[in-house]
Amino acid sequence: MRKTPARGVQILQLSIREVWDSATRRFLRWREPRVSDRERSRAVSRSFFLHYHASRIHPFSLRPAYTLGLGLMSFFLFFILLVTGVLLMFYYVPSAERAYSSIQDITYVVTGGRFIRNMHRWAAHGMVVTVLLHMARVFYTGSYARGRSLNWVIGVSLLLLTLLLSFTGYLLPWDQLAFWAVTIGTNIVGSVREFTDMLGTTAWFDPGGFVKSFLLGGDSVGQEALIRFYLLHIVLLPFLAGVLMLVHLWRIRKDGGLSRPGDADEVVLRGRGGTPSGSGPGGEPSILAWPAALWAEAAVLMVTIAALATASFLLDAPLREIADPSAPENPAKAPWYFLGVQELVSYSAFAGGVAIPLLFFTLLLVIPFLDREKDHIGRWFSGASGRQVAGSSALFALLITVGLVGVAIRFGWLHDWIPGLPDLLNMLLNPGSCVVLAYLLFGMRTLRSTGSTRLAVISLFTSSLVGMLLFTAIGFWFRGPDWEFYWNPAQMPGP
Amino acid sequence: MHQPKQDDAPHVIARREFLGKIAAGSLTGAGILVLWGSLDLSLPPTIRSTHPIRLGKSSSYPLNRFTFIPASNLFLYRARHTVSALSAICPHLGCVVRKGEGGFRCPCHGSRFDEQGDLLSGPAARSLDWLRVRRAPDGQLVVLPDERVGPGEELHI
Repeated sequence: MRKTPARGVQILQLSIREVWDSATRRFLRWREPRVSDRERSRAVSRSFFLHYHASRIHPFSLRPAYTLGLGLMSFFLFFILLVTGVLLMFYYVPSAERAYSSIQDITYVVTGGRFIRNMHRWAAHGMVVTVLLHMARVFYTGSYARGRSLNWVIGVSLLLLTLLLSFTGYLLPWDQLAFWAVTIGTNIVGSVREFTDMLGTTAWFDPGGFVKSFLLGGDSVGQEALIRFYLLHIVLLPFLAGVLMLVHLWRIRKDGGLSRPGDADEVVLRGRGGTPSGSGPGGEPSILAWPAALWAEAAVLMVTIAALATASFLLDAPLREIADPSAPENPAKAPWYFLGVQELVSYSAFAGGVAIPLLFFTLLLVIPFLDREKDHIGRWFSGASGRQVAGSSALFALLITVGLVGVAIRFGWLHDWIPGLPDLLNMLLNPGSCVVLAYLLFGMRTLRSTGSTRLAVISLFTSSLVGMLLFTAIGFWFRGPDWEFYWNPAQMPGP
Repeated sequence: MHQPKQDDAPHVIARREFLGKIAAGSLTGAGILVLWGSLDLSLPPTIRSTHPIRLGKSSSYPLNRFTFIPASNLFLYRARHTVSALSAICPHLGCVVRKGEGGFRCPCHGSRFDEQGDLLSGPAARSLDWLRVRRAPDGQLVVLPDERVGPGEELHI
């Protein structure tokens, strides 16, 4: 006869089963649900992780050529950055004496440390790329319209946070690259003083000095700066970015799923999207989030991890010599995504490092409020006229940027021609700000000739993007020692 | 909108509304204080490191030449009867300039300065700073890194 377990053991078994069941059912739900549509819908609506989806979504949202998976990639990269970042924290020491050697330990001694550090570095670079491309995708498909303006604003904040996260992480290895990039970066912030000095308000209103000493905890990059950057990098900024990312995802659902064109239903019914399995509340075609959306997301995740792992296997994250506060490298270059700004600050610190980036982010933020047209949503470039405007703006930006920078390099600029020019004019009329002014004028012209705010912002956005690329390319390939311009990088003198 | 009873005086506010306003006000006030306090805490009480830099005897430096002092990022220039100190920190964005032929160059953004530290070209907004040099009672040279002087103000030896 089988012995029944004691009553205490029974209660224990029951509670374990209950906890386990509720965890798998309500929280994780990792088991494939029963095949009925009802079961699948319940799986999504009852699970903590899956409730970011509606249980039924529009099949148009699954078209890879529409989203390119860029937002998801950014999200997955952020997640990978959290995991690898925590792993690196096991060994990293945020002290000016030990930071560099702890990174050396991670790279050369710790098992798998080099791979994890590579992953962290390349995921950070990758995230800057995917976030920028994601923004371009959302912009060119007009997906900031129709109540999605809040999510656009959150997205722009996330771009800013991504850049700040990269920048604060840059100091932590405490090598030459880190030290001088951050010295320059914080002095760019401090250069707001150039402007407040001119206005004569520095004594009682000094945002440049305030932010600089907030970041550095002193007047130069040292131990205090390192611990502050560490704190920002591992706690404050990831927390902010994480919260905003969750709101960003939640808003997608609140805004009725991913944006789609007015004729999305017909496109799908003609069989060019996913295959609808039913219809949503408005009679529109819909598809179950489980499994269609989950498969798509898993595919993006696998592509992301595969690409990142390959890159981290093949390429090592750089680590230069230990920071030397008395000898910058020549040339001392910022990470590639800040080289456009570095090129701009080589004309004027305040205009290039503060005013133009501030203008850029302000314009990005107000795009949904400048352009209130509603009929363009979900179509790339809003059709043929938008493609044409984007093309002509790109061409215009290319010509004017290369032209003005060429003049500045070959013949000098205002202060070389007119020696007594006031500082304010020198600052405001440098090649960089003249280029930006030209973009603005071209955008205005587009607005006047077409009368369409959508086409005007397409023009502005495109020329800014092209300008950003060009300045980055100039800084990356054509600037040598002493920030001199070289046509051919092979002609640069060696160190 | 909720209207008070007809017989009430027009400016009497309901108790709930009053308490609600008090609550909202004190929350806002507390929030501002917390924010202000945390920002104030994060600003270091002493910012500048104003330690004078001791550089030994003037005779240990070569004549008529700029000598770079790496630990304090400055150039010391010793002439026959004078000593002067030129800050090596570029007034543009804080890189350390290098001595080249005919002057100084910044490796970060290409500002150029002549032998007197005067701005020749580049994005810097002003010239390099000359710093005060004094002599300590024991005869050592002392540079005061926070005290800028005009180009002619040298220490006579």
